[in-house]
Amino acid sequence: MIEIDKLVSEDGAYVSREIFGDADIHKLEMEQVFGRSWLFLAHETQLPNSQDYLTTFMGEDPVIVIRQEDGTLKAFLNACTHRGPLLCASEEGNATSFTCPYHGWVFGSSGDLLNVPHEGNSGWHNELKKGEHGLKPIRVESYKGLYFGNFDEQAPSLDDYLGDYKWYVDAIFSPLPTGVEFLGGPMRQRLQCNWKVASENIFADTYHVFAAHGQAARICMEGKEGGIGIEENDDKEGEALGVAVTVNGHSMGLHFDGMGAYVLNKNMAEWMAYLGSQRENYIKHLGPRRGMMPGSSINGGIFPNFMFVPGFTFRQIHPLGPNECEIWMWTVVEKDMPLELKHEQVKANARMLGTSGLFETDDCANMERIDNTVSAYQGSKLISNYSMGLGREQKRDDLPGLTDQRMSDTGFRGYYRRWALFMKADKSSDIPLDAPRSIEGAE
Amino acid sequence: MTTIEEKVSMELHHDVEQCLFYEARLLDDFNFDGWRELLAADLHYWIPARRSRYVREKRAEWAIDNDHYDDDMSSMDLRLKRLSKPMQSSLDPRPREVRSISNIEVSYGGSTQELRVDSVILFMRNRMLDQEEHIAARRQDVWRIMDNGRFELVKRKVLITQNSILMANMNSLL
Repeated sequence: MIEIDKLVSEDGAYVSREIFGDADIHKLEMEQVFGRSWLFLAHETQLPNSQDYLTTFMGEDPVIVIRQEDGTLKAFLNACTHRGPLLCASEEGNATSFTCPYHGWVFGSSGDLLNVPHEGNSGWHNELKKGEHGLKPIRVESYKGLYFGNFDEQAPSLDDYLGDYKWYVDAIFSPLPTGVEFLGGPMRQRLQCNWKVASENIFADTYHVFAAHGQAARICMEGKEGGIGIEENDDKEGEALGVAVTVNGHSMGLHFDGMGAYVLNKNMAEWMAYLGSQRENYIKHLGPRRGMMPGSSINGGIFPNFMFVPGFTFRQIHPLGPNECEIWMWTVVEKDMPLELKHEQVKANARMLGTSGLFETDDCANMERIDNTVSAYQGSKLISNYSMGLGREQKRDDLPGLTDQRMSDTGFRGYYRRWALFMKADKSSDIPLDAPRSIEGAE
Repeated sequence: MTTIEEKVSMELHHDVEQCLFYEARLLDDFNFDGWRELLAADLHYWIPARRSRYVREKRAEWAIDNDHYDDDMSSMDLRLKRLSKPMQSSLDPRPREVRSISNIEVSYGGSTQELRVDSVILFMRNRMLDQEEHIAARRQDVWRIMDNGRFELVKRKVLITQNSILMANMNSLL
């Protein structure tokens, strides 16, 4: 019997390292967390045309996502209903039907079983009820072009699941009326650590940036003015400290200065010029407060495993057992951005937080080092500390969610409180959602 | 097969081969200053993403894809500065690296000043106490013949075999 209350303190500040390496806990996570969370599947721009498809994972399960003729997206387990081979082995494409390579069962893009070999007297004697053998469907809902899947029919709607976090999501995925675009396919990278270790870093870890990435940051900042906004300085006050926010386990660390995201880029002036040319449009579309988010230094994620650092990387961490995961990384840009900057953004992403990134290599090394100790017996009994700023969180009148200054463990605590709720609850309706608040000063 | 016009002498082939072996040794030794001297100012260093699609797939390649490297000299300089100054968070202790270069084909690539050089690299790396990693790739290079008879690397396209990178990072240069 796994006692979750002994693994995560009620405030989320103290977490047993057993949750980063224990096989039984991992198995329970597949059921309790990945079986009931809204998991990112695709952005609408990855599947622009009817019958475009891509293959991905929900938890450790292979999934296929297909654009239907009516424009909607459907998702299915990517497994033949007959004996289980992976139905589609291509990572993306366009197809009217999918034929299982083993016995030749043919499924349509709607998931229906269309045809089986030897259906008549030479085999099935017309006794196979094809209508009962369609691909296993997955519940799909979308918000601002992002499609998510959920294995649990009883889970709340995606809209309720995101709750007040939508206020922040809008600024990331709909900064302008034309929205954003996912460029190309993902970079993929295996890593020897638990999926939560790779996730929590981008969800909430402002603290590590200069200790882990100091060298890379100094090299990229050489000869430039300004900063990311999170440099160590105990004299900072108010807005300069930025904000950490948590809502329903989703989190974000952000500033509203409009400039921190691109200061590390090669031609900083070009980016500043672009942001300057759009600022009025951001403000018109998002209001004066959120209109400053595009171009600001931001990190965050949607519980449990979809995350972003706008201007750098957008990613999902797929679990692969308790001690391994696979990072999928996309480049996301505003659709209205000039083509030249889109090209530059892809290159900057690779150079900073991509597989070969100047910064990414530091993170991967640290995550592996966590795995080195948490999987050993004595190490697994130690407690990880997420108590920075504990007790300082507040509900501000002008921002949704529970907030504190950015350099705090606010987002981690929200994440692990949420994880514990999912792990304990018998059914989705037992997992409470943060009550939406009307935020008068938000705009 | 190369045509008569493209064919290089055995001596030139030998010199190019020695240059590739020398280059591999510089990188194995983490001699990034030495490696930089082999690079042309108009360098394009490219390691594209490898995709897994059905052969019959009609859908075109991505117009822009998330490649592992797509660097000119200025961005390569940033990478070399980073690699030259290891931090204990990642590159210190240094991994131990060996590059084996084979299947070398050399031909004149359209002019007598530029050589098209195809090769295969087998890259082996061991990190920390026991982290063994490797990757294989086909390389398509363009090397320029300098007035002093030396070569400089103008273009390199590295076709790695891995889609999902099975090494902890792609920081080692191929």
